[in-house]
Amino acid sequence: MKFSYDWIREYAEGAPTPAKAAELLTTHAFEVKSVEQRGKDAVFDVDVLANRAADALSHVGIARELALLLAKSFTPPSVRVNESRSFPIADVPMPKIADDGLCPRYSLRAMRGVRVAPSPAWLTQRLETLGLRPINNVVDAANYVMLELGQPLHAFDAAKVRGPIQVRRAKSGERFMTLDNQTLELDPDALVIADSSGAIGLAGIKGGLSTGVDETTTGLLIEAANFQPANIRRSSVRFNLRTDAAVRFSRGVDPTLTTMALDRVAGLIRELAQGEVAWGSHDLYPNPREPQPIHFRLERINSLLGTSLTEAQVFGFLERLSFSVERVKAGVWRVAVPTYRPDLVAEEDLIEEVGRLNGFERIPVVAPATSIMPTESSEFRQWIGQVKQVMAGFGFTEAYNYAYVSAAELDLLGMRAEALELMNPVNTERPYLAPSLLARLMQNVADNFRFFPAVKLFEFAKTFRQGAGVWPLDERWCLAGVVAYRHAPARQRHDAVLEVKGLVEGVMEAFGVDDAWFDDAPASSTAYLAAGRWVEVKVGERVVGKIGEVAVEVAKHYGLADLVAFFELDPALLEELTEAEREFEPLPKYPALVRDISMFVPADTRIADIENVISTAGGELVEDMDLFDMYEPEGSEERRSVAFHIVYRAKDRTLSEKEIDTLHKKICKALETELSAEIR
Amino acid sequence: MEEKLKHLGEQARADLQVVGRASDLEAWRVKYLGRQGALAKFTAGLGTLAEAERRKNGQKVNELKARLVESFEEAKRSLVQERAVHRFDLTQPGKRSARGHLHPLTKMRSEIEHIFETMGFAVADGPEVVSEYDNFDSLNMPPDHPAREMWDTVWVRSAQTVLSDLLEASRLAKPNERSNQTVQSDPANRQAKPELRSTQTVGERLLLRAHTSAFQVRYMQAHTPPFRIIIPGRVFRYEATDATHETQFYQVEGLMVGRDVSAANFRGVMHEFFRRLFRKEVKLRLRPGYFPFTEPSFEMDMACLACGQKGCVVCKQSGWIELMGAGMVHQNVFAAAGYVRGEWQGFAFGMSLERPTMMRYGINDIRLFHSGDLRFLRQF
Repeated sequence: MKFSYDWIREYAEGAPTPAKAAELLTTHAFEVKSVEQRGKDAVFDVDVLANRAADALSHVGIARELALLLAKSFTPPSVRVNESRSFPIADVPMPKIADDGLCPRYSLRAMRGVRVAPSPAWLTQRLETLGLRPINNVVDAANYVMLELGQPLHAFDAAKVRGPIQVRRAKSGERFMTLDNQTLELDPDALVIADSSGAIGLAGIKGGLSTGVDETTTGLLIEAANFQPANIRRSSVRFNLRTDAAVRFSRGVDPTLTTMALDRVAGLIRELAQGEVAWGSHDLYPNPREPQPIHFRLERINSLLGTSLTEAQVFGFLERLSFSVERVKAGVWRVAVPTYRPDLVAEEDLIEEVGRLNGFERIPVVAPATSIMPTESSEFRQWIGQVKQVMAGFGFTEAYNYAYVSAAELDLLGMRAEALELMNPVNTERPYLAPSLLARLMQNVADNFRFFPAVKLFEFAKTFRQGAGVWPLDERWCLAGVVAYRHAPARQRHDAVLEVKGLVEGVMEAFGVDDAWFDDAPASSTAYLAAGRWVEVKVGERVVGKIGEVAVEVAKHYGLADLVAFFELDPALLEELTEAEREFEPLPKYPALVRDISMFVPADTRIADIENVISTAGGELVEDMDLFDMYEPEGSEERRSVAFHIVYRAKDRTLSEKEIDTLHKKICKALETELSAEIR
Repeated sequence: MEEKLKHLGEQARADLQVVGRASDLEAWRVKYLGRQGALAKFTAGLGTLAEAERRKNGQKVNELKARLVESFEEAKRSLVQERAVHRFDLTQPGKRSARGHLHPLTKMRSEIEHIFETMGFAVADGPEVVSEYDNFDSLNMPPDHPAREMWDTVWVRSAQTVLSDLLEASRLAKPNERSNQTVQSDPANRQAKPELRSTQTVGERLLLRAHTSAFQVRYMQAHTPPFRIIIPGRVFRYEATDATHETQFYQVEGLMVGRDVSAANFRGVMHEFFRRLFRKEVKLRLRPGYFPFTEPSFEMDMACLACGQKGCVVCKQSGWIELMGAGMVHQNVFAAAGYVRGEWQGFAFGMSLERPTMMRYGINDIRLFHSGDLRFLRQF
């Protein structure tokens, strides 16, 4: 909120330079975001803290705060009004407030014989400096007093008000036209100021056109009231009317201000527009707010702040605050807080006051004295850190993406039914929470292909799905990634999937997971992976993820004609399954013999099938096999050439050449018989 | 004789192993294969033997000679290659496999977690979708509290009723309160809040957590003080993005509770933390702030390192950079956690992860973190 420093100075004696005042307010009260010179004046843009709106959204409030920080005196504006005995307030019917606490106070003054005209320069300048538009001397005076004291005011043209003023809830569908020519359709949660014809004001927010003050006005009814903050805030949001009055009432205004503000504005209007002020005022204040005294202890102040303030120091601060203080016993007071500080209700609130007056910078810097026993640490988090390192080691780069997807993306993923929708999405084209990391990763591939021919990315983030239990959603961690090569020849594209497989194998190996394997996809398909071109990742019998080619339709959506390989893992499950420590294997006693075996096999023979035949036929003595060559010979689509090193070793003896020869022949025979291999 | 020949062969081979340069190789050749060489001498020595012996040994000598010549040729070839190797240009790029990169936010987060862990803080984390109770009510912000405006919320549509277990445990909540809110006259739907369905009660609507503080009360419910934790995590705002604002970003929350944990201890922990994070003493400033869940509340600033507090774009001419909000935990929050009022005290703080990361690496646009752009990611 903007404030004129010249104006503030009127109430604070000995005010320093604007820069010094700004510094003092920032370090001891609230932040002054900027100080702008405007001629001889300086305009402060102050970030008044939300809980100080009641007292500090006014020049008098800021001046009081500044005087407090300077430990100097604060001079409130003089409020004297000349009333006219020949014009009793009884001439104006008593307003009526509906009973339900939405209007704690309603005060009304009346004037007659005023001459509405443009305001003088001193007034328009002040208003304009602070971003308000001058209208006429009556309305401007009301705005002026609001900026000065923090109490919003409203002036009605008395001639246009029919019957007593009522403060009541609107009727369902009741219509109201604002001063700005906007028609609102109201509801019973909205509070209105009404006369016998209907609503003449949206209480605490905006006045009505029908009773507005214009050049023809001579009689005034001036309202200074207090309203329930929650109700005003709801209405202000609902009707999208964030007026200066609404902002103040939403945060809460001191109810004792109404009569003072009325006196001030009446006096000011008389000065600017002449006229007579009615004798007396109507003031409906059925339940005056009595502040509860607060029990305040020195020992608590020092314990919470970590300071060593003395009783005398604290008492000094309380006096400066002009709080009424009663000493109960040594180091204990009963403090009554004035009504303009509704934010102070508990002991801690007073501790904050004392703390900031003393200066938060005076709080010492003391390391806590505490047990050195550390609190438990999450193994899952550490495990994830290690997995990320392993993945980076394999050449994958970590991406962070937004958690939002579009309806079209969900349909491609086949996950529309289980996705969660946002009520107010930031990007209206992506109004769903992502149930899979694939969508955003595909976008990453498409974007990065502009500059890089090869993309290897992974992401570790939450995915969201509708849930079946008491908590209506399933939020779980996912570790997923992609490999893609732009304009790659067919062999390299196939390699992309093998790289993904290699990564998963690498992660399993790094964590000593022996029984990780890849199982053919179940009969049920997945919309986002190409049919027949993906497999499940398993540890034992538990499914921990999937790897494979992304479905063509999905790739097309992102403008990708290239094959994209994808993996997704359930890290929480995987971490559980990798908990077992790996076991050391003693070094072998007896030497191994390596024989190579080369063969032609039908083109659709799978490597796994060949490996199975070899290990079945060879039995225990086949310690390992290593595919070292594989190619499709020229001009032949029906067969491929495959070569393995086979490592033979016995645990209990040195194998003889003869033994191996026999076994090797047995293996060759098995391959010929079972797989129609042609051994070379 | 045979022995002697065998010995000669072994010797020759051993000598060949240590030959390093072309000149040495030539010397070797002369020594063993030359006209006056060892083999020649041996052959000459055969003259004293009988015919049969001579032939047998002669054959063996020839075999050895053949093998030695082959070895010699091989050694010669590899020496030539080596010479080519020695002319290598080391300004060529080295050979290695491409390394991947961890995201800079991951690195900064690890570092921050590590610093706090060495100070005995545990690292906790909570869900990203939470109830209104978690995000607001339990933190001393009942419905219609004006401070709720400080967090622009993204709401999640949920089909079912949510039973909030915290509501039962807490003394703050009034589970039977119903609000008659309806949304009207709000064409842009900017402030759309879900209508309460008749089966939902206040505090149970779902949202994407707006701050990591949303996990404070849940943690406290499950743990008895004293404890100290940080809660790093992703948070969400209804916010337009630009170079310094994001709709989705990361925070690190801190919470330390005990019998006498004070604001002085907060300063102690923070000064040490920032000294280690920035690897030097940094000037910090504590000033008044406001959060409904702390009292007193603070804002902590750091002297701008970019301009040495002279004023610049980075610190918006003020000389100070905002680091975090913090404060002493409000007794109402302890009450929501089921603690006895007045029995415990502690501090809480919340800072952005992006801010120190951008400062550390000199990154000028916060949107880069979620861009997935390899041109950015591979710089780390």
